[in-house]
Amino acid sequence: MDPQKAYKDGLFRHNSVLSEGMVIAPVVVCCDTLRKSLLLSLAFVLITVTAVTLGSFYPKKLPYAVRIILYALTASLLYIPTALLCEYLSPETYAALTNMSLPGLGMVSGAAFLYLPLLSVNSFVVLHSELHFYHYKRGKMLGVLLSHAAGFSLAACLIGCIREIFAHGTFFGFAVDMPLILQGLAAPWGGFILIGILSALHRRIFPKKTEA
Amino acid sequence: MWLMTAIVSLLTTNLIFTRALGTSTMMAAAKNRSRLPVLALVMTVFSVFSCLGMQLVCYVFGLARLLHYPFALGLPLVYTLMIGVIYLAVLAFIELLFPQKAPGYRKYVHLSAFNCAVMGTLYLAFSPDGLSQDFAEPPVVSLFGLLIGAMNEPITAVLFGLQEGLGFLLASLMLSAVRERLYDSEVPSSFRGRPAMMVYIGVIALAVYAIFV
Repeated sequence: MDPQKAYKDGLFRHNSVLSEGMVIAPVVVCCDTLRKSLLLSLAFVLITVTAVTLGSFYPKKLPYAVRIILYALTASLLYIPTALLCEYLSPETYAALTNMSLPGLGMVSGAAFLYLPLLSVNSFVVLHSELHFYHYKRGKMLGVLLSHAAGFSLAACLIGCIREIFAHGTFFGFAVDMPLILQGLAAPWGGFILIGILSALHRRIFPKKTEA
Repeated sequence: MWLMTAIVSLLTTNLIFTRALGTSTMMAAAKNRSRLPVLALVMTVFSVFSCLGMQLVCYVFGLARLLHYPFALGLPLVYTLMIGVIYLAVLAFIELLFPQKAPGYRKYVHLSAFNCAVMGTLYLAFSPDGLSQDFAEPPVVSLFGLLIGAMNEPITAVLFGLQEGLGFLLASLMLSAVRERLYDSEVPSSFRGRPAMMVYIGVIALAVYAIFV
């Protein structure tokens, strides 16, 4: 496949969130503001790109199950400096990443503490590395991987922007004059519905064969 | 009454509807109804044994300090190791007991081992210290809440893992029941399939949130 096309596909047509439905959980729960989306995207890119690239050096002679465990362990190890970096860059946003709405409790501080560490077992690392990325030569693999990671970041930031404007009445922390605030959009159910609508819009722009 | 409480608690503590954990796995599982129970069973096995394993690591071997900062930063490493050991054990178990059917079962094990639902169950069962624990107790009694109060900690861990596995099965059944309709030609082509599924999960999640309004 033409490299340019492969990169564009990773970014747009085969967007991991809107087209493939991958790494949904952190986007649904954490991406309700642009700042949080940016920090989550940074963590995702650092963990995923580094882990998948390092994983490509592991011997293919190892059994599949052992390789998958090694990829996940590598990503888990990378989570430590990534979390420290995110906390250093923006302590407030890092803390805000752990807030989420729960049934009967409203917005609970700390309830979403698990989503950043869960990036270490995201499907790019434990599934699509073997299914997809390692079929390319290393240079092209890195390009395709980066384009997919950028596609994730793009979708996460778009979702974060929309939810921040409509659910909180702000944009990047600055107040926006909104006639109606839909607070529910910041809850996980709002995230699911918004991703569903954006996926439909994505399919309208990039049509593909109907799934079986 | 117990059944009603059980269903309500499975919904309100459901990892998929309240926390979006395991959504992609569930969407993949719902494609084939016949393999759904096997996948849910394998995921339950992973949840139960990983919770039990962490219980042993934390309290029997006295490694509870893992839940304190800064050791808590290494929790993904510990949890991955735990699930990795169970992953290899389950694969070996299948190869030993069902050598003929092993290749068929292997894909379920691969799909169930490292995903957000199993890892998320571990995080919720053993959350790092210093966090607000308000969210740990659901507003209604948990499925095995009454039993949990009366039993010792390893059993608590097993029941927690079992609850999350059953929750995954319930959510998958709810999705597979309507899957054909979501792929129906009457659904607008842009929404057909995955987008409609996401909206459907969102509406169910909204209903779960509305239980407490």
